[in-house]
Amino acid sequence: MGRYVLRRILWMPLVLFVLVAASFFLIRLAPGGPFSAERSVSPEILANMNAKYHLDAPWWEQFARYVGGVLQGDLGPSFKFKDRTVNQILANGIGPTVMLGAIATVLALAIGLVAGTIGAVKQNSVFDYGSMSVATFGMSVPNYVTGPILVLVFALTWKAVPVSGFDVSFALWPMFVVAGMYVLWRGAEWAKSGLGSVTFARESACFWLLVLLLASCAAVTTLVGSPKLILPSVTLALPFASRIARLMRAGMLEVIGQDYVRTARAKGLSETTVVVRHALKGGILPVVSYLGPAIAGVLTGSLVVEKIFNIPGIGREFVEAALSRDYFLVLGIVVLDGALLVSFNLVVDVVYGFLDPRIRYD
Amino acid sequence: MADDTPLLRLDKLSTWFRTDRGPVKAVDGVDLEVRAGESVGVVGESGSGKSVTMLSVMRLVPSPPAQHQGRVLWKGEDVFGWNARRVRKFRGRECAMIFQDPMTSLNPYLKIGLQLTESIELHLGLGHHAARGRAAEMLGRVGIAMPEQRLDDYPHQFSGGMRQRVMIAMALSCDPQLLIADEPTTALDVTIQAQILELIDAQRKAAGTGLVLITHSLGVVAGMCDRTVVMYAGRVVEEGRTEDVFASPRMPYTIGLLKSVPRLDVRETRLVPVPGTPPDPQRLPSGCPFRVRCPWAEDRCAAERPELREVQAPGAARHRIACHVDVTTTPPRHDPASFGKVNP
Amino acid sequence: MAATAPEPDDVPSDGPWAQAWKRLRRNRMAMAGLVVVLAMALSAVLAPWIVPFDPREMERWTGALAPGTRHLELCNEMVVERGKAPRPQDVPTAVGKAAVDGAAHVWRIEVQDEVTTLLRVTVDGGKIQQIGEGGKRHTTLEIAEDEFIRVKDGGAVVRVPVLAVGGVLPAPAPQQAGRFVVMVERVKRPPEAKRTVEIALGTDGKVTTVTSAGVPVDGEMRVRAENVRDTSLDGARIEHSHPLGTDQEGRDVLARVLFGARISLLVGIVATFVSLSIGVFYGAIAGFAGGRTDVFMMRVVDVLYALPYIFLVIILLVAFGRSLVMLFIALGLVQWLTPARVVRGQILSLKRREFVDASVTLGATPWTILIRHLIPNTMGVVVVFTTLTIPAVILEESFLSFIGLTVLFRGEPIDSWGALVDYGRNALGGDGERWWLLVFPAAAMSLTLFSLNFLGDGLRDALDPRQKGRG
Ligand SMILES: Nc1ncnc2c1ncn2[C@@H]1O[C@H](COP(=O)(O)OP(=O)(O)OP(=O)(O)O)[C@@H](O)[C@H]1O
Ligand SMILES: [Mg+2]
Repeated sequence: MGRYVLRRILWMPLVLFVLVAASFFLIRLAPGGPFSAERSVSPEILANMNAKYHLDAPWWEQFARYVGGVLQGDLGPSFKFKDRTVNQILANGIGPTVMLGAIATVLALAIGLVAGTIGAVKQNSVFDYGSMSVATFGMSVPNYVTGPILVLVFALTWKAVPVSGFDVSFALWPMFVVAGMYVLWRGAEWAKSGLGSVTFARESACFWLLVLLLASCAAVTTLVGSPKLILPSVTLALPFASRIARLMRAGMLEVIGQDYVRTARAKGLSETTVVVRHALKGGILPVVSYLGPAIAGVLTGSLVVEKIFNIPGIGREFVEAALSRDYFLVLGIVVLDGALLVSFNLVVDVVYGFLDPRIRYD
Repeated sequence: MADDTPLLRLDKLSTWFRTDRGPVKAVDGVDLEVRAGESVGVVGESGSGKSVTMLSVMRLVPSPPAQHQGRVLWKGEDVFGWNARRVRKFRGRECAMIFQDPMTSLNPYLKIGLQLTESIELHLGLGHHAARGRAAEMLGRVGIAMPEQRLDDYPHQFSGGMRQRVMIAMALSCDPQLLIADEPTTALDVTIQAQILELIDAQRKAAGTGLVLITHSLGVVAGMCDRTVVMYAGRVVEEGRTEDVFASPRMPYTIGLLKSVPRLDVRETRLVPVPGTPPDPQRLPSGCPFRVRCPWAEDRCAAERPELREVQAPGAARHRIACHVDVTTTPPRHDPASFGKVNP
Repeated sequence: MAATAPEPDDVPSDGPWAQAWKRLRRNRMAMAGLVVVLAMALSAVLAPWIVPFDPREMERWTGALAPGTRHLELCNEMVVERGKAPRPQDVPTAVGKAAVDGAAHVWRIEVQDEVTTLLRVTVDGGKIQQIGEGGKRHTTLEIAEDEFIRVKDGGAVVRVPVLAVGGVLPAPAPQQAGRFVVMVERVKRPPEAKRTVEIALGTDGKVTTVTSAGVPVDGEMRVRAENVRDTSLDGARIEHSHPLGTDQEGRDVLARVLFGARISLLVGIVATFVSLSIGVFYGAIAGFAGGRTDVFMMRVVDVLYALPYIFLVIILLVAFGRSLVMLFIALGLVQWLTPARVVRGQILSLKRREFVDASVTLGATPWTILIRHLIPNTMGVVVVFTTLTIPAVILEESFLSFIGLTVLFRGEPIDSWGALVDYGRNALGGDGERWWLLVFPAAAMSLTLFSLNFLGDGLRDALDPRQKGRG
């Protein structure tokens, strides 16, 4: 396991470097500099500005300078907001983006896994057909369509939720803590009665399910406390929840047909134990390998959702920065998102290794 | 057991599969008995319904789309009438099953230890430590070295033969009264086959467990089983003490089977199927399903389905066949030499 | 025994493609998808013949019209002159057509002229500072029932009952920080300023007479669209109908959706072609070369897989301009990785087949084998990927349009579905009263994507039945 994780960790800097280099040279190769758009600038001032930001240095020096800066945690100045550095801008924007992304991911996982599992266990039931139709729809329709449609229906016509903006309130979290304790207590009870005499602590699937349950409780409590986040989170989560539901259902169906599930039944285990202990681990693997692309999708989706709902995150910042050629800001956001993505992929790979011993012991 | 009730009795058991092309009757009115401590061999061509019969006993055929008719009696109780809780006690505790393919029958994502202890904890009510001890003991008994350490390994770290040993340990770990072994050795190479079979036989004899052994190898049946059941097209066509069936087979299909084996005394001989195609379970011929391949076939065979009937056997032992013809007195209508060749 | 007749399904009498088609035809959803996709493509191609409007042609005076509205067909300003043939851009299409059909016609326009007075409103810090009318200054100015206020020269109508110093001049009047001046018109349409204009067209297509309120007019006659109450040609109203309504600039939504389909589908098809070409060749070469080359090429794919691609595409478009070609390249570069992996896998297994050995012994060069024998055998995969990549590319293109990176064609943005959805979203209004601007483009896009996905799934099942039911 150690070697496997190490290999994955060594993979990270390489991907990040390629990303930074590709973005840097794409920008540098492009005709025109950041200040060529500003008409009123005289040649001397232009030269001055270029010198100040080292834009007149040879490209390799600029690149080395930039990479050096990034390694020291300095993402450079912003051209557009002259009084702020990229670091400051990102520090302001990362909160809403990560908050929204986390809520959406947790919602998508919770809904997708539950719907997919039930769909597989109760194959061809009304629930199965219903949820799969919704999922197919949710997967095909992009979030820049669902978002505005949700706004039209729920915010403008029905006026059930606010249209846009961002403010989070954790006022309901005490309630969540109480609810969480209750869930933990009930979970332990349920595990004792529902899973036979097998001790709860050894059921790794149960542990993860519980973590997910607590996380979704936290997400839902936050949403109830801050209604402005409901539509953006739902918009962001919908395509992923749909995809996860379909993957989970297909994965579970395949596993449930396997010989080893029949073996488990032949031992006299209850249906819950068979599903939770024997089928879930194999069935969830396709979902786990989809999580990497899903997180990339959440980051991309945040560009859209932040625009639609007017949320001051780095996604909205990126679009504006790109349109106004604020190079260091663009690069900074790419570096940040890339780092987020790569580290998340690492986590996903490690989780995959934990789930599938055949990979771990390779 | 004191009274005369058999451990397991199948009473006209039929199992259908609903498929896209209409229902398939995989098991068709099977009558069968297993007594405590007895070992019964089930032979028949591939597709004759051996596995489905045994899965039906365990109620492991997914239903729907499968449907059952008839009864399965466990010590006189109807298995199909049981609730889920009773069925779970039956599975694993009273009746255990070893499956055809050890490579896919163990869960690749879970440690062997967990897979062994879960049924021990469930059925024997042992605590975690005691269950681990018993699991290690069972592994040791089936001949796996360093059993304590191996409990923490995953199935992919075992060879095929070792996995089948693990399966056997798993099946025997709760001291079942009946063990169903569905071709436990087909996926293994020849040298290991013999070891595994000996292991099953020894364990069974030691614990007095009843055994149903499904196999393609007549040699194995001859060596291990008290009674032999021959199946054809989802039906039992001959049934009796192993020595009676092998010495004086009375059903033409059995005769063909035995003829196709060159030497009965060699254990590892594979059963060479009787030439001619086994019938499509969806379009069985009328009357006796074997008649189209049978040298003794008469008009009656097409008109009337032969029921199992008793025939005389030495020492008043039970010997039953499903055939209209008495092969001991009637000569075959077709050239007996052509029997065993592919029909035109 | 008579040999049982083999099932008709098992007869390999048709080739694999015919069999796949048969399987596909049995899949209802996939066939429905195919029909919808074909219909959408066909209407995109035939768009100019289906709707009589140019998607960019604005009829600002109509404003946003609800779906199904019919309204008078007008030009922004209509100009005719006695003795001259009317120019098509100066008159409604119906009149333009009538002028050249060799018969005489009468074109009648009911005009309601407006009386305007010019107001000069000075705004400072959002508050009105001064209202000037001619030489006078007002402190409050009541706007009567039959009057309204409009930004000068046919600009937006500002709905306020009263203008007062210290009050606000609400949007859509221009809003700026600091002090600025807005010229607005106070518009009145008195009943006595109604007149009928009658224009007679001769058989030669020239205007024979022009009368206004019965008085002959010599020289140019101009009528502005917003003053027209009714217009008819030979007694029949000249009308447009907008089945899907119009947007706030008076552009026909149906035309916009259909022309948007053109650009979306075009980008989808071309970029898919680009990416599949790259993917198939890359994968084929990697698989065929094998060994270290293969390992290296696949490692590159692994690295690229881990990149957040859309960011690079955005940078590419921003840096090198948002031309159509750039868009094809940028989107083509995104989607080639998966086909490359799959094709490599296929080639690896095909390579071991006998026919390759046979060709080698016959003296074929590696390239011939690759191009003649191996790549054609991967066409099943390619077809499946085509139907699955097209929606993905359409999604991406629309995504880019949506966030503001519309493709520019000769400096003008071409509105694809994504841009229409973005426009519709912004134009919804406070209560969602202009829903059609969002709903129709969104529906067209969703329906097409939905159908393409179903078709893709169906094709995958049809071409590779073993994979059925995955993901
Ligand atoms: N899930 C199923 N759906 C439809 N038909 C099935 C199903 N499972 C088994 N069958 C059919 O039931 C019949 C009996 O199958 P079974 O597995 O019992 O044969 P078998 O005697 O065990 O053969 P083998 O020696 O090859 O294991 C076969 O014709 C098979 O096609
Ligand atoms: Mg079998």
